[in-house]
Amino acid sequence: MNFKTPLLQLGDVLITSIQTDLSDAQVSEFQQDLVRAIGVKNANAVVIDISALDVVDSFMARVINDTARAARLVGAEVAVCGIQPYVAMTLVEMGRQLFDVQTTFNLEQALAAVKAAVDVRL
Amino acid sequence: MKDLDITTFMTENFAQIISLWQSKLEKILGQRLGNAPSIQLERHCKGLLESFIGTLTIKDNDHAEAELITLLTEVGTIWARKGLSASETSNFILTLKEALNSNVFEVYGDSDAQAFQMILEWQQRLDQLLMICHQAYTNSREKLIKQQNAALLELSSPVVKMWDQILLVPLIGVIDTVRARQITESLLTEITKQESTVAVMDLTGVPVFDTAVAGHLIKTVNAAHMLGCKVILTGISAEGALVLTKLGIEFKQVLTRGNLHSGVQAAFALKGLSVTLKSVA
Amino acid sequence: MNNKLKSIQLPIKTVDDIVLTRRKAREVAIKMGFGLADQTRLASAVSELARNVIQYAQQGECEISDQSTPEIVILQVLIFDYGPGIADLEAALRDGFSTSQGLGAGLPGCRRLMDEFYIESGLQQGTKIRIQIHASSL
Repeated sequence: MNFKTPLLQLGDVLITSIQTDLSDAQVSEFQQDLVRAIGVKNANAVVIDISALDVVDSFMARVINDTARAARLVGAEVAVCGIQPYVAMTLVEMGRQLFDVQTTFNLEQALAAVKAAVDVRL
Repeated sequence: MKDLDITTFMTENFAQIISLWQSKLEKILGQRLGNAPSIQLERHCKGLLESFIGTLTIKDNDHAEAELITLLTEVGTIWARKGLSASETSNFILTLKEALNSNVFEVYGDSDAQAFQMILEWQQRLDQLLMICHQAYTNSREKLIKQQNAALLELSSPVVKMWDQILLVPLIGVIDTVRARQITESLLTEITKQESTVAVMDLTGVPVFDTAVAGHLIKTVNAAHMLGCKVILTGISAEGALVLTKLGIEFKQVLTRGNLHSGVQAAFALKGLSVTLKSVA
Repeated sequence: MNNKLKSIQLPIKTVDDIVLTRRKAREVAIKMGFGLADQTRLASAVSELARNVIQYAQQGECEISDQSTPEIVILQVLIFDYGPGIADLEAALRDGFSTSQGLGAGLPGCRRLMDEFYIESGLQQGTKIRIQIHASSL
């Protein structure tokens, strides 16, 4: 199967990243790719890296949340990593908790977090 | 007796007016302007009187008017920076008025009608100058206060590295929106720098704890959380805790501890560390 | 005091324009000396509003301008469209209100992010939103 979304596999963890703002079409492509890949590659966890995003508005936040929820529905633990400090500040200023996913600062912490979550499950 | 003319009078008696004015100023100010004030003071006095005459000679003399305002602004600004008070700064113009008045009486005698006429005329202009000078002084002071506020703001929200990946944020004083933002900013910057995963925020020094403060803190905690850093709040006073529960605010996913001591302990525990007593030989 | 930046007009017609618009807003903020925090909150708000334009009115326009006074540095962004407008402004500014699939944090969140937020809209009257970020001119 061919995926347009960049996906790295590390053991049972899939690592992907969002590079720029996505259009509606790209969003659904990204979500489909990721959710399918979880099944195909038999992944137990997903880490989404968003360090390239210097702006996250409520639309992008929703995209990230939805993706995480979908990934969880097909049985993967999810962590989002690399959120820029000023983006985090802006998100909380906008109000409401915009992410209902585990978030970490760097990839290493994200991997540790999803591994711990997978271990609990087993 | 010469005919009445302010500008001729001022030009003819220029040197006397300046020296009287300057000596009056020096007497009032003493050493307050610093060690080498007389040269600058002389430049200011001469420049001001020259442009003052300039504005009186030709009506709507834009160049002289601009020069006048520049000089007054400079004096107001410099004096404010040197820490002189507002009334001391007003003396710059008030002493000029005195110098002019006593000079005119000296030349014309103290019961001359023309002299009174002249005094009345420059009185009004001088008052305007005083206003300009005062405005410059106030502006400069306000700027200074703003700068000090900014400096104070930075000083008042330190974020300290307590241990590897553990930060300490001691909060002291009133927390308003501006400060809350500042605190969040420095905390987040430090989290990314140290890659910290735990932060202890101590509120012992926060006197008022209400919905607004709680709202700000929740935002800070949430932002830190997004960067993967858990926040432990310590030192919420008994009154503060009661107020919060009455307001229906609860800190979800926030660890709270009664004092800094147990907060630090909790932080260490989260990192799998503990403090033990080493037997002393 | 005439070193104010010229105002910039940008069309908002496609999803790509959202990115272009907020990037331009950030550029202007940098030029006017705003810090990273201010740049980010401005870019987010502009992104939010530009996306609203695409979503509800298909197209609109954006004007970024320098409105500074001697005491305050002011960056203003005006975003307007001739779309269907907002019938109930008060509801739209309430948290959690959304007529589409958004998070419902859009307008109220945007208002919280900005130092100045002004909205003018009515059913079939289009929408005009003016936002500003301020900094003291030290």
